[in-house]
Amino acid sequence: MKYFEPHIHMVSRTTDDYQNMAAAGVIGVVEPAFWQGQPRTNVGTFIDYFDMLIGWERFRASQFGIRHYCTMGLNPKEANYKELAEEVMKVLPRYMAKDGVVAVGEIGYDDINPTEERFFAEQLEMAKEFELPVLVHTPHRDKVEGTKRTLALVKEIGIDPEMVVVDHLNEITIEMAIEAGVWTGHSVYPETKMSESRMIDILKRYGTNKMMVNSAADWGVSDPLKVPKVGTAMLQSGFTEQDVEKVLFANPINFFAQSGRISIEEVTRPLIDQTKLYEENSALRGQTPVVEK
Amino acid sequence: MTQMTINLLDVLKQHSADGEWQWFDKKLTALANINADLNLLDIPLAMARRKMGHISITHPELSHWYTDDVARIVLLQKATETYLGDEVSLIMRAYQQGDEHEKETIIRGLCFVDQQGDLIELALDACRTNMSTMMSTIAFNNPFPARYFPEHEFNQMVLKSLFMGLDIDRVQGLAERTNESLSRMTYDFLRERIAASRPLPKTIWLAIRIVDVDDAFEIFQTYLISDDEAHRHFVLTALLQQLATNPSLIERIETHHPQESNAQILALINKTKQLSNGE
Ligand SMILES: [Zn+2]
Repeated sequence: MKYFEPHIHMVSRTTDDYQNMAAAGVIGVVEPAFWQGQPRTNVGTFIDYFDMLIGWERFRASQFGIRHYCTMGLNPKEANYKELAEEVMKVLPRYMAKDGVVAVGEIGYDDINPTEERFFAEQLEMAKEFELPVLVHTPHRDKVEGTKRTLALVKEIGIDPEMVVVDHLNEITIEMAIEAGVWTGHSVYPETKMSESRMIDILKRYGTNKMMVNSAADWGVSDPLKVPKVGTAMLQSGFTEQDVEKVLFANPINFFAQSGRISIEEVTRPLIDQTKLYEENSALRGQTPVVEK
Repeated sequence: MTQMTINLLDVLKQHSADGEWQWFDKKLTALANINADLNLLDIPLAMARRKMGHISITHPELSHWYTDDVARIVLLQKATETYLGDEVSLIMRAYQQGDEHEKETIIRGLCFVDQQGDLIELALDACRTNMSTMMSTIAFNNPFPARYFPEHEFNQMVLKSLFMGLDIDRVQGLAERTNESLSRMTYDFLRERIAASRPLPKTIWLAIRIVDVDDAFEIFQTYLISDDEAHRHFVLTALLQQLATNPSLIERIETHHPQESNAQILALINKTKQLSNGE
């Protein structure tokens, strides 16, 4: 089976993870910009982090045969540092134009307060301006209220729900998300929160349309192989290979494809090592180098 | 200095569809206002690949160039023409803000935006990369290093390329820029590899001159009859390049490989034989 991981923070992961993911069939990932476990104090560290997502990390993934895309945004936790957040908002537009940036995200609520809401709303406007889909993080505390307000804000700003995935959903919050018409994201974790078996139950109950599954693996206890593991669990509980491919490969790519910057065709094409291109043209294989005269 | 005379705008026009060209032409015209708004450069630079495609350029002197490369360099050329501030800092800024492909393009096109070596710091910065793609972009098919790098920096670039497992036969001007220090560094690296029983990079021979490290000749001779045709090819190429400055070398080269079947290598052997017969 081939898999696509739509939400993972690879900058915090090791090369072993990349190797294991590639071996398990993961051929593409989306890395949402998020916080780093401790708040940043300077816009420069945001810039360097954003640059890493569109540069070094993309290259690192390619060395393991994995395509790397990212989403750009100011996360809700750090949105609370208002002055710094305003500076970050000023640099964000130039990242929204970059190739490989397939959505605005992850944005949303954490403490659920007016400052978070202000930057959430401003970034939803930015998504409209750049015609990008949106990846929304829902809070782990007070999830019901956070999800409710998220869906209300999306409606208020006037973004097509088709362009929004609301993430970290569970049995309690999924129904209101489905009703609102957004794509539904589920993060499967090793211990607490969502497990493989609960995920299977959700898929049995609500079907596979607009369903997305991710590991949300980062610097905390998490498992970057959760997407393939859910695939195995799906097959064991009677889902077909087509179902697995739909939920764990085609759905997320089709969602992000609304950016015009990613497609199933592109993700399945073999990754070309640009360095190899140089080798293929080396003198021995017939082409003489352009030598300056 | 052949590259400088290429009109990139014409090249791009020949490679663009109508819709693409319309988009580009509009962005190019808008650069007239760059002094009021740097976004007029930043945004089209970022979008060039999506809008202009990533299609191989057929021009003989632009091997490894694509439509998005040409588009981005033309945007920079135009921007520096109009920009009232410092041109070098405008290009440095575009580089710093670029994603990996924008950065590579700027490095690939250095000689099109800088005819005096003003961007040497940027080029040296590119050499500090850990990305083999970026290293290939600065080191290979690029006239800038041979033209402007001081000896030490040029040597470091060649040696680092070998370390990263890249083929240095694509370094422009390498034969002209080889020097004693590069020969020694490379020979030391070669001996380390042999001591560690690790395979030698196939193109390593191109960076070692026998005149600088006579000890190396024996290893050259061994690899001249190697089972690996790439080694045979590059040892011969290196030796042939050195004959002009080291004519006595010819008497010592034994080129016989009993089953040489590669036409290119046979041609090199014949050339060597002709030279040794005084033809
Ligand atoms: Zn996350």
